[in-house]
Amino acid sequence: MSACSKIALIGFPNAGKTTLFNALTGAHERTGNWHGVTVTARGGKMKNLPCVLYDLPGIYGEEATSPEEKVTRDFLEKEKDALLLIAVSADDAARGLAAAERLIKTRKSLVVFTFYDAFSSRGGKIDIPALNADFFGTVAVNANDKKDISRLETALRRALSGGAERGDFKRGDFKRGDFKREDAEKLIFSPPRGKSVLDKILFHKFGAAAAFALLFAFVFYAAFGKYSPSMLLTDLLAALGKKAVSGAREALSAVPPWFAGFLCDGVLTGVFAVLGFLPQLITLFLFLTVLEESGVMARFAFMSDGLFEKIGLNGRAFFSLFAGFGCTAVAALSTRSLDDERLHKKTVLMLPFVSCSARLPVYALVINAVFPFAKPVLLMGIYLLGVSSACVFSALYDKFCGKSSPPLLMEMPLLMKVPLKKLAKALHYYLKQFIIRVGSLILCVTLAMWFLGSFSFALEFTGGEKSMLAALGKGLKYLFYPMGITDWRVSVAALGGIFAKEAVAGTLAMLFGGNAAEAFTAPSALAFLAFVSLYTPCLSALAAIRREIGVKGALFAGCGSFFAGIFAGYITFFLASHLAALTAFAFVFAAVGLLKIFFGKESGCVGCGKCHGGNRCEKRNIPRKTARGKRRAVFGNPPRPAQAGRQGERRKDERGSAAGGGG
Amino acid sequence: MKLSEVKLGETVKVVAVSGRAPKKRLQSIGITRGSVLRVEMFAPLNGALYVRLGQAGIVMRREIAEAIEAERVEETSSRSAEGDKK
Repeated sequence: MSACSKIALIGFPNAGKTTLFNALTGAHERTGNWHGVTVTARGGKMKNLPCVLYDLPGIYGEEATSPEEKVTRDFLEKEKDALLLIAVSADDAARGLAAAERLIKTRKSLVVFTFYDAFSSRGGKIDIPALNADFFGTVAVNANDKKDISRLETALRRALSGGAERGDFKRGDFKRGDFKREDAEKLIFSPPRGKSVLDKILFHKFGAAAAFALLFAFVFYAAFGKYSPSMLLTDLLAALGKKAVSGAREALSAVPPWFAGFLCDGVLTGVFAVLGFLPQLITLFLFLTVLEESGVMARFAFMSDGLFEKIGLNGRAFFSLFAGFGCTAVAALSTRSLDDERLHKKTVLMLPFVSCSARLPVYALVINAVFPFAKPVLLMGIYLLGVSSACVFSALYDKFCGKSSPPLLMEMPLLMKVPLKKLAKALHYYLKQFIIRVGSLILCVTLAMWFLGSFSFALEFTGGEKSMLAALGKGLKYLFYPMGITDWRVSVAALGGIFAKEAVAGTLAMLFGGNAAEAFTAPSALAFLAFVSLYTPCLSALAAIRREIGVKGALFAGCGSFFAGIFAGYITFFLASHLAALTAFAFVFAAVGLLKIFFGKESGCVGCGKCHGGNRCEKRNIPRKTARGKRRAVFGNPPRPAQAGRQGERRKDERGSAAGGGG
Repeated sequence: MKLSEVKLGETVKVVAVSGRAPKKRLQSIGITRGSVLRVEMFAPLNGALYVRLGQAGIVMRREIAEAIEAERVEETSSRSAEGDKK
């Protein structure tokens, strides 16, 4: 037996590697893989063998699609002598063998079929002796059974002592690499599995739509709804915060006022601001984790992929954006578990366009002051503006920064219950991250804002109108002139909104004493609404964005959204105050839309999918092309010249981006 | 025929994975030449394809399915095996 050799444990996530690892090394490691945690090949000394077992994080290290894969690949390349312990779930044998085939044929390996107990109680069978005789070394275990584990250890010993060459168990003259996978698969019998009721709903066109709509609405309400436990707790915390601040002020009356201000309006306010996020954060993350770990989110991603693919997103990203309607900061943090880094970045950058719930008081205030009768319409318009800006941003981002995610290809996990322990650990991780990284930043920023708002440029402790903040706000008022707003109180309020969106309504109320209407005309009110809906999110959100995509990203988000808001405000004011222009614009828009409907319909593919991606549409008896002659849903790479003429129907070259393939 | 052109419910065997498909990603998820897949459904709205490989469900975008060549095989429940754990 070789001294202190290395054994590498690899396999699909569903193969139960961690249980095996714990059983063989006596460790008690947690499972958990959210990216952002440093990923390494975990090594542990084995209990009954003089070897170190390495749990490789990736799957088979084939392609460096993620940091985990890279670690695996590097390890395999470096440790050419390591024995591979390939864990394959007995239920998933075909797939596991296919993926591991190359490794089995080229390296010393032992295949272990896990979950064999469940598999055989379902009626499954694997002819282990035959596999051992003719194909590759293999063992079948139930990882929780001590006897099975010692059988595995025996097999490992034999493998280490040179028996891992093919056929050691029976025939010694078998050359490595010359077996056919199909023949090996003949020795595996797997009875088919029925579909659960829940899956029948979730995979049905309408069932899924209804189920997911309800589900998301429920989650959203639970986290952000006015009377949900989460928000009630938040309100409680806010009230407690107020009490604490005023109480502290009283208690510190003997202390110099600026210090009292620092402690009360600065530190205490900041701390309670951070605490105030926790209920929403915990609730959303709880549901998000349950959705992801149970497999429901994967089903949503699959069913909605057709829809979101067109705007360069996927279902999982949509969930985070949807959460953005509640709170931008919380939504930004929820993007953490988005696998694809580029999509992750894009989603976070799209969040500022989504109107968080804290902007509602501002909308309400302005709408009530100027057009109380049109409230529902205007609110809808505002949200629509946000959503369409987000989509435009997404399309532009894809155009300039390349397609943001590789095409969907993933295993559909089985629906399963989420163990509480896993939930608790995930929550613990998220909370820690939030408090340490984001919370501290929010606190710093609160202190900074307190400072700017309490001291004049002469560093005199004064607060109110003489403070630096007010001076800044007054300076900014010129920026609002093209929106028809000339009152400095509005720009100060807007500036306060960068700190916390709720502050805008509060400041407006305070500065105008309830007569906000005097600052706005109808067009300028609309412009201001447009501005508020798009401009820089609150500093907490920016802190969260910084946590997710770095300082540069946060700066880009902050400045970009600010300009987007200003820009939208200007355009809205222009259109609103030039009704003629607006009407003309509306007409053109409608005309183009109608033309598309009437003339677009007669020719061209509309992507109904009935042809299953074939080259001819039977419904309309035409080749599968849109009215403009492009082929719908094309792959990213341009075709090489040799292939361009391959299938006669394909006349035009495919365009680069899938998002642009439509009519 | 292309995987995307297979009728629902049919079982096919992969004969070729063209260069336009993410070969390595496919391999690491278990789909290679010789894999037997059962086409189960398409997601709505011209969406992704759901296939079954053994017991596992795999979903992929249409573009990837269009880059995989497959041929029909008879539906067989895999031939049996005797023997047990040892």
